[in-house]
Amino acid sequence: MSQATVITIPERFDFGTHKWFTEAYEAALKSDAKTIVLDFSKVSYVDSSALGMMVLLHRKFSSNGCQGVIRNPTGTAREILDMANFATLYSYE
Amino acid sequence: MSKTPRVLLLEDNSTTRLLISAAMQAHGVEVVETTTVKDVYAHLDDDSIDLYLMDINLPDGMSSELLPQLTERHPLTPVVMMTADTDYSEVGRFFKSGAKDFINKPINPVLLMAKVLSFLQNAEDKKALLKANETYQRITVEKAQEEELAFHVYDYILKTHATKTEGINVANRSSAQFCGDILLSTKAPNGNLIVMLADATGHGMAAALTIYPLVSTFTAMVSKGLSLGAIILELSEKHSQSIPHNRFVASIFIEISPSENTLKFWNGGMPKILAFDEDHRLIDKIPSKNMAIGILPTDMVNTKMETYDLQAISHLCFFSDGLIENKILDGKHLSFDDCYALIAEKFDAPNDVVQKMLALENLDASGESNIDDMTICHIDIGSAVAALRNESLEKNLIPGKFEFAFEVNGAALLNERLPFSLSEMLASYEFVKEFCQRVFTVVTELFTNSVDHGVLGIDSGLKENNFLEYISARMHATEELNTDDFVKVVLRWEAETRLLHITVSDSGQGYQLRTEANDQGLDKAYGRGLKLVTSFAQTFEYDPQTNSTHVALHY
Repeated sequence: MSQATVITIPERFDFGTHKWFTEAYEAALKSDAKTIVLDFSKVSYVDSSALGMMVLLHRKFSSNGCQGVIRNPTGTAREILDMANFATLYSYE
Repeated sequence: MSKTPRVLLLEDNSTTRLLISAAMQAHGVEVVETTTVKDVYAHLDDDSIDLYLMDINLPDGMSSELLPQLTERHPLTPVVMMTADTDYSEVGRFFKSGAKDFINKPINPVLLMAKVLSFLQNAEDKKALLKANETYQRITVEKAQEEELAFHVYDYILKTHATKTEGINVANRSSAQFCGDILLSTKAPNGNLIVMLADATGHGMAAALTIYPLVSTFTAMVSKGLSLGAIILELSEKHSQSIPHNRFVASIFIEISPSENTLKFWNGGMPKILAFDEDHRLIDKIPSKNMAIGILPTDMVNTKMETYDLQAISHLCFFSDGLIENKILDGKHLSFDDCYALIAEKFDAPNDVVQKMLALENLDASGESNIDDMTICHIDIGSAVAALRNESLEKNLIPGKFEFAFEVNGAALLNERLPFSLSEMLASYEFVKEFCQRVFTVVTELFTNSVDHGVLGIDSGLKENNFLEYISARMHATEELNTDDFVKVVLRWEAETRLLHITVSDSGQGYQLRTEANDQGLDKAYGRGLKLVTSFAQTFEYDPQTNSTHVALHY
């Protein structure tokens, strides 16, 4: 199984997180990891900027031949990901 | 000897007194010289005397009359009598009255000093032993008091956090007064049940202390509505902050979610969780795929769960490793596989399995003591789910009305925490968390829409098509912000209709024209953000006259 890098997303995943998130995924993309796991365990609040950042990340890692996984999305965060049909970009676990 | 010893000498004959004093001083012994019985009475309360050396016949009476008082007041101080009288029946009486030895006159200084020094050493040893014994007694009492306090706190924590849950049968046995195993089950605000079985390293008070922070954190985090993954991370963090690095807590977490129709498992360092179907057949064993809490730093803790459909499993059975340490079968220790097989064998009546396993023979033949703390638990998923559904998710009725209105100008528009603060304010009115999360998303989208597209004039499609370009355009545009630029937000709650009205207006050009120009359906025209708003809101209206968007969320 390929090596996975986990990014643990904070409670609020919104525009305010973009600088942190960009740094986190760029570090992940530089590693040898073939799977990038976004751990949603702590996430309670999500907005469309977060979705935008995730689409951008998807574009970057697909061109690297990587895959993305969303771990433990719950409640409203899960509803928002479902509404945006993110299951087509990321697999859930 | 640790200090200069002091001897009280009672002797009326000055030559003998001089002889004895000289011998004593030559051996570093201080002498308190007395010549009458009356003189000795004056020294009765003197605690600094280490030995009494007394002639018997004195001008003012017999020194033997002093013996009862001396031995009562100074029981550890030896009394040695001196006399030329060889009436041994007299001597026998002195011994009965408390004298420790007897020396014939005339005095042989060598023999006298050998006896005196031996008695002094002996008396000092006795005093040291007595002191050590007193210290030991005091430590024992203090330890008992500390344990009593610790047990009081332990018992209080258990009673406060352990609630009886329908469908869960559990038995817990401890190897000492304290138990380092604990099973907790707490209902989350979203109607899920979260169960934790934790087993701390070791046993007794040390293990119980290791468990304390986890117990209080667990119930607080579940009640706060954190997801199971977030709870595990929080527990790991709490553990690493408060417990020494060589102490760990193996644990099992189970989340029963009727709303998501799932069963989730996280096993860190515990024996396998046994899953049974409705016919009581063992269908799966869920192994530990994680390390016990406290071994890895929190950022390396894996929160991946094993997820099952709620209908796939009817019963669960799991236990702590104390079971294999305490129980034997046919005189032999049980292995984990033996335990799994025994439980499966005894699962014809699931509700009795816990008691049946407890009834196995103890390694300790008396059956009264346990080598390690031990817990065994059975969950009847059907009963637990039925109980969860019966306690319907009644939302708190939020009485009365309130309205908040605020306007933000200029650079203050870049404060991204405003929508979050609003949702936190709603939480203070006890709106359920899911509703506050939705309000956060809706207010964030409307506020950001007003700032980005209204005030800053950034193309609404840019955010979705090129997020990086959007961020750079936004940074550039914010430099031009001035105090005439504003966004106004009004939140109004109506208890009768259970509607929360949110109105957002701004100083920009409005966005209605742009959406009409790109009329390709609501989703496309409004973009991803406004799609989220329309999904969550009961009503969505845009007034181009006032350039304000109004939505209502039903509670």
